[in-house]
Amino acid sequence: MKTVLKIAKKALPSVIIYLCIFCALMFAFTFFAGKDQEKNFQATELDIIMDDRDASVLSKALSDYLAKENNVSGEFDEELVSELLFTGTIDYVIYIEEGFEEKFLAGEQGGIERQSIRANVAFLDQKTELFFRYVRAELALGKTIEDACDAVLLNCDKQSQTEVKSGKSAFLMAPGYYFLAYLSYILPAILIMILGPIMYAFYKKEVKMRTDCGMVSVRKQNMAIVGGIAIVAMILWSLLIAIGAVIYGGDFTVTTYLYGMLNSFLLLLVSVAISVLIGILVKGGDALNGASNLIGMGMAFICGVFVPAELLPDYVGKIAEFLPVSWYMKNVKLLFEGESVTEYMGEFFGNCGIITIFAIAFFCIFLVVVKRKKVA
Amino acid sequence: MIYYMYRVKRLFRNKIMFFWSIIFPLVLATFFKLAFSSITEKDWGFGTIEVAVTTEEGAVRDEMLVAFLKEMENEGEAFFSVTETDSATAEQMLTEKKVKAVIVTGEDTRIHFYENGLDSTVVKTVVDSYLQSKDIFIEAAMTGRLAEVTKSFSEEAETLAVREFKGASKDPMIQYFQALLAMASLYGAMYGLANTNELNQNATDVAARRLAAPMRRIPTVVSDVAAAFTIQYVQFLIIIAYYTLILRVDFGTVSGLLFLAGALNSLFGVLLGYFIGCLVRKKESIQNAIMMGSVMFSCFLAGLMVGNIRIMLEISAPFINRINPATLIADSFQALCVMGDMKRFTRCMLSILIWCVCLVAGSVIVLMIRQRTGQRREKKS
Repeated sequence: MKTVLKIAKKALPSVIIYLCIFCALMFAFTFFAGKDQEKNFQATELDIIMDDRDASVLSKALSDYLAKENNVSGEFDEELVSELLFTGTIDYVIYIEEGFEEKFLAGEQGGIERQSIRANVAFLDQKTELFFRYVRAELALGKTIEDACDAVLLNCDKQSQTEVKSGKSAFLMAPGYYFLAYLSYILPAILIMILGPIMYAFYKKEVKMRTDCGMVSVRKQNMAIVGGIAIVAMILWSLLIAIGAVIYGGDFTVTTYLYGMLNSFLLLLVSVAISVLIGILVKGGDALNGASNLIGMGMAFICGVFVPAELLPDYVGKIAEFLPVSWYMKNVKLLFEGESVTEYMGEFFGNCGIITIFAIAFFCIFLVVVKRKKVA
Repeated sequence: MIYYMYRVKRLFRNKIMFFWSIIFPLVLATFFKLAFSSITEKDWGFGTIEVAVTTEEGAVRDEMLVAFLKEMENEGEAFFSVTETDSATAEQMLTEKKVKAVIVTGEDTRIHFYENGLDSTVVKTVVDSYLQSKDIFIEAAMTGRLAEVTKSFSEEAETLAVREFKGASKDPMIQYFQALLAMASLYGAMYGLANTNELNQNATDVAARRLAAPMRRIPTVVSDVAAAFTIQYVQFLIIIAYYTLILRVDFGTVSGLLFLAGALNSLFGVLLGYFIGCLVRKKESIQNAIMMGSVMFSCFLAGLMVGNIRIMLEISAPFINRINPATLIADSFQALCVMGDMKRFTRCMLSILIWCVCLVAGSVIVLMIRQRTGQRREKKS
């Protein structure tokens, strides 16, 4: 067992690097996470830039009208605008030419254009068109352009009453969600880096032959390895869970935290099973580093850790069902999506069962590989 | 030439370098494709929104609102799919997420959403627009000018014109692939680093043997650089082919200049490795850590981990974007393939060229300083 811990200690620099990545990812996503969980409607504000060269009453009124529910900026940088649109930093650009108001009053078309690469801003087109219709209607009532614009702006305060059931935003979760989500990336990645070398060291042909000749029985050897691995895995898991409790404790109730712990413990079992299997299949530290990256990142990308599962293509979702992390993520979602996790108890424990089956399956494959290696 | 061929073979046979410089970018690109391919479509695309309309008890259904919702369309596609039902069923549908909103008509119009988001905003904006229109008509009726208002309101004239986006690609996720290509180019530093270590007699046995060979130093270095460049450039071509032919990433317009840019970027990667190898005369693992750390930090600033960081820096600290190698590489692909901005492309290429010159000069200066220090030490001893 002492040897196991000694080998594990050697992987400490890599573990620290991974832990830093984990913390950086968590803090980055916590920054964007949903902070307001009140049951109030919050409009999704689009970022609009207005290149207003007319600076007329009408163009200013349009800007005020859109600014009621969006972020409207007049800072226009011609060189940057395409780049801003392309990267989604801004959603919509309105170009207003000089003399637009005169054209509008004369009933002529033109003088105003919009640019966007998002298709779902069509409602903003409709809203802008409606603004001009309102102004026309007010002008038809005999008002001046100033009065017409004022009337439209006043009228747009008339709003429907709203109520939100979940109080959450689509694709935006509490910071604690990101903690549990990124745990599924970091646990397998770190455990492969730590347990891989241990398995490689003990199951290397020459070493295995020599230890088998020794006085310690195979049963005792295996018990020592299992004990060492269990200690290492439990230390890592406890450390990560403690980080979560200290930083994101506020996002959990006692029940959700306990359910989260159970879910992550099952993930730990799967990760240990995967790590020992990889450790026995892959040779050398560099190869283990590659395997750890590919497996950790691969499962995280496919199973909805880095990108919400709803935004993944349907076929990726189907592939993900063959991976344990997707079932873990389903449980994490249940903890944060519903009113109370107890509502979804059946589904939660069903998913836990599937994760356990994955752990058993990987462990069985490991035993088969060990047996074959022994025979060979 | 023979020396160059052997060097290519030697570098190509290093499995670890092969994995990180080619397999890893290809696998990462595949993950990007799997994860990001439908984000733009699902997050930015236009889709019909499911809504349920119900009526308060004892109130009359607002048929005009229902008609208004059903009539709204964008390029022939309806904004809303409206289900008219009773209150209990509508709420059930909302809980089961079968509809995005329940619109309750009556004395006051109310909207129930399951969650906040763009779809909810669209529903609210449209319903509010309807209520505001209604008020204008009520005012017109009260002032006896309903006919004029109706006429001006129903005019088909469209005031707002659409200006098309000029970019060759409309998929913002391509930024990740550009940054990944920058990372792959900078990974050429591994080959440069391996070359320096195999010419430093204190570092490896291979270097000691090579230096004992009866061959002048400059042709050796030139063959080494050429061999590393060849492998790196072939890898660049493989990645581009994988992007465009297998993953079918909408990379924009692929022209001959892209391959020229790839060559310069590959050369930069190799020279970066040489510079680190000359500057840091420590254990190979330390050299590798410094090289990987600087490459990954540069790629982070180019948007490999957080896509929009490049544009955020462009707004707040453009100076970083002008000197960061990974940003310059990614930016050159963006300017050439997506925006067709030759001015920006030329600026990026010139910057990379200046970087290459600086790296060569830096490596030579470091080596000269080392040589002189060594000579002085020898004299002293």
